[in-house]
Amino acid sequence: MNQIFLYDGDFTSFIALVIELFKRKIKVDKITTTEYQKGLFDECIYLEVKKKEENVDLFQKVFPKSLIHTIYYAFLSDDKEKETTIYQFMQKYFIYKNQVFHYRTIDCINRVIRLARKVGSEAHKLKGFLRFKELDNKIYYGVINPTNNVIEILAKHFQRRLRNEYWIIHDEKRSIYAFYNKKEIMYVKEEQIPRNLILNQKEEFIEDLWKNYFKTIAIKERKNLRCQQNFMPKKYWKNIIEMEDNYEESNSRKRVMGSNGTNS
Amino acid sequence: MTIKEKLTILSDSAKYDASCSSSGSIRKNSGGLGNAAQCGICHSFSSDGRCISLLKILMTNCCIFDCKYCINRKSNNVKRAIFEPEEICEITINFYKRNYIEGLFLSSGILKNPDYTMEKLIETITLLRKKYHFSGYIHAKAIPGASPILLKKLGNLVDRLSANIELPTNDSLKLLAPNKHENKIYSIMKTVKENRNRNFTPAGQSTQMIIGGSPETDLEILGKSEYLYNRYDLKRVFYSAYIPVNKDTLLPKLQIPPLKRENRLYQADWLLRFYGYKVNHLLDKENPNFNILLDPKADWALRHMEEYPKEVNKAAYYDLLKVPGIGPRSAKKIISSRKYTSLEWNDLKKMGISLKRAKYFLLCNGKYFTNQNIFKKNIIEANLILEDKISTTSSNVQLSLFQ
Ligand code: SF4
Repeated sequence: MNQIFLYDGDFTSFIALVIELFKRKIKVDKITTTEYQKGLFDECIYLEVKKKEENVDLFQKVFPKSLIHTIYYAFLSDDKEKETTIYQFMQKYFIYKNQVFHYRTIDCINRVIRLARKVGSEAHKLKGFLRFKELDNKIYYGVINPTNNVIEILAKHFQRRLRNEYWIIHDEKRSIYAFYNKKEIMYVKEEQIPRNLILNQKEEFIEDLWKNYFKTIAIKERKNLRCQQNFMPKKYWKNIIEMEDNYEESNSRKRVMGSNGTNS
Repeated sequence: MTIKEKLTILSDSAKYDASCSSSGSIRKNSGGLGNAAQCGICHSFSSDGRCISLLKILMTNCCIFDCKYCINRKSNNVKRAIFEPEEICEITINFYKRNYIEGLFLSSGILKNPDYTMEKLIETITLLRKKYHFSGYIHAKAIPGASPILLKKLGNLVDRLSANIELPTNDSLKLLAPNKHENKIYSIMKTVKENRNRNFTPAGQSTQMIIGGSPETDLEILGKSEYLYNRYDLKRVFYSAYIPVNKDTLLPKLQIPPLKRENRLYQADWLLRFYGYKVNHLLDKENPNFNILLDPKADWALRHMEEYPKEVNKAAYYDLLKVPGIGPRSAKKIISSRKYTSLEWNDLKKMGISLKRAKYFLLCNGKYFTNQNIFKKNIIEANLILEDKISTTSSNVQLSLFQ
């Protein structure tokens, strides 16, 4: 039987579980969230960790900062196997200690580093691509649909940058909201966010100004749409106001092509 | 005139400046709005594929000078506009809060005289920093010929200063920009170099050269860059393919901007700054220009085939860097991994090192990538040309070459 360990999807729960598994020296075939579809040869185990905090403290004591950072970033990835890979990676740390990052030829080490890098790179892109709109109550509101779960990284970035503003970052895909009240960031659910968001009166004017700037600043003799798209992938266009028109356009083109397909 | 019209005129006339980078500063949020990100952040990409990081505008496109290549020159009949300091601040702040931009890049035509223009720039940026409490990134253009006191004042307000050298030789400058003098540009660079610290242009200085507007070779252009990097600690030299905006008998009649050449220069510039190359490694009197079909590093390697292949498990860091397709990140990966295991081709693949180009120049434990017979100079050259990203990406501009 495969021993599959389940947890609720939260980073702290995951860390507490992994440390518990190390402590008790239990054989692990897979770690995954409670949404897991059980297979024929699977034995799913929900291990209750009594002293969660103690385990997390231990984690922070045992692992160096750079490793924790890498693990945290890898954990934010949308990879299906990430938990198991991270678990194996931590096992390797006990063997190779601080040299662990050098063993790139070992699969789980290489994969964790890559996952972390992917997450970091998406977060970096979105630090630029995220667009806020000012609501009539002076709250800045930005929507994202990232591949990886980068909202916490973004929130920390904007906490430093827009320190004296109220803002909300909304991950539409995961229905998470990061709300900043000029003091701290809170992660809240759908119900806690007021509905019917009303835009500030001047919002349309500012957006128009920006879209116009965006067009003017391009040098037509150097037009290179492929290059533009390489740097700014289509999947983000929906939430980048100056690209919205292109997004609509490319979508409607897709629709037309789709209907052709079914007709023929 | 509406704000929108002004912004159109004053961004349209600023767009030829290639610099848009926002990196190298670590300005903290001092209780107001904004901070700078050490590695820089691109917020958008315009339809020409260039990064938009800063709100790039001129304070005014009025100018008392008459540089031949410039759209704003005195003798041109174009619509002119002047931004009020408050207007610039309002737009910057509103864009910044919506996360459209990383900060402001403010340049200007010369109004009345250099000192007056500089004072206006200082007034605007002071307002932005003091009244609007803006701690985001600011790049300002230093006006040649303005007094050093004003330059120092400006330097204390901004993250980066730049003065464009524009043309690689003084002769071309005299011919095409009769009001500009090399010495004035150098004196700005000198002042910035001598005063630079955490509060004075923390992100350093940069400059720009126009490529293809004058007859200089790549050797002369890159030689100038090397000189500037060494002498004035420049952070960046930008290259800007000449785009004919004016008709003038002194200017070349180019139909399309020399974008490939510009790109090769950027690649070579990169090699100077991060790979330990010197200009006289890359070019000489017999070969004063880069091969348009190959990137400078591959070109160099092909001309030095006697140095290859290099053994992955032994080659020194800088020798690995000289292998086409291997950058600093891959070279570091190799060095750190091989301490613990002897690397095979498969290991390199697993580590995510791209072998497309590198495979022709490396040995792993004495083994070639495949059959040794294909490791002939002409075969490698053909393959590298085919795989070259620039010469094979057919952007619209490139295609029109053959029409
Ligand atoms: S001084 Fe600057 S703005 Fe004026 S004409 Fe020369 S390049 Fe153009």
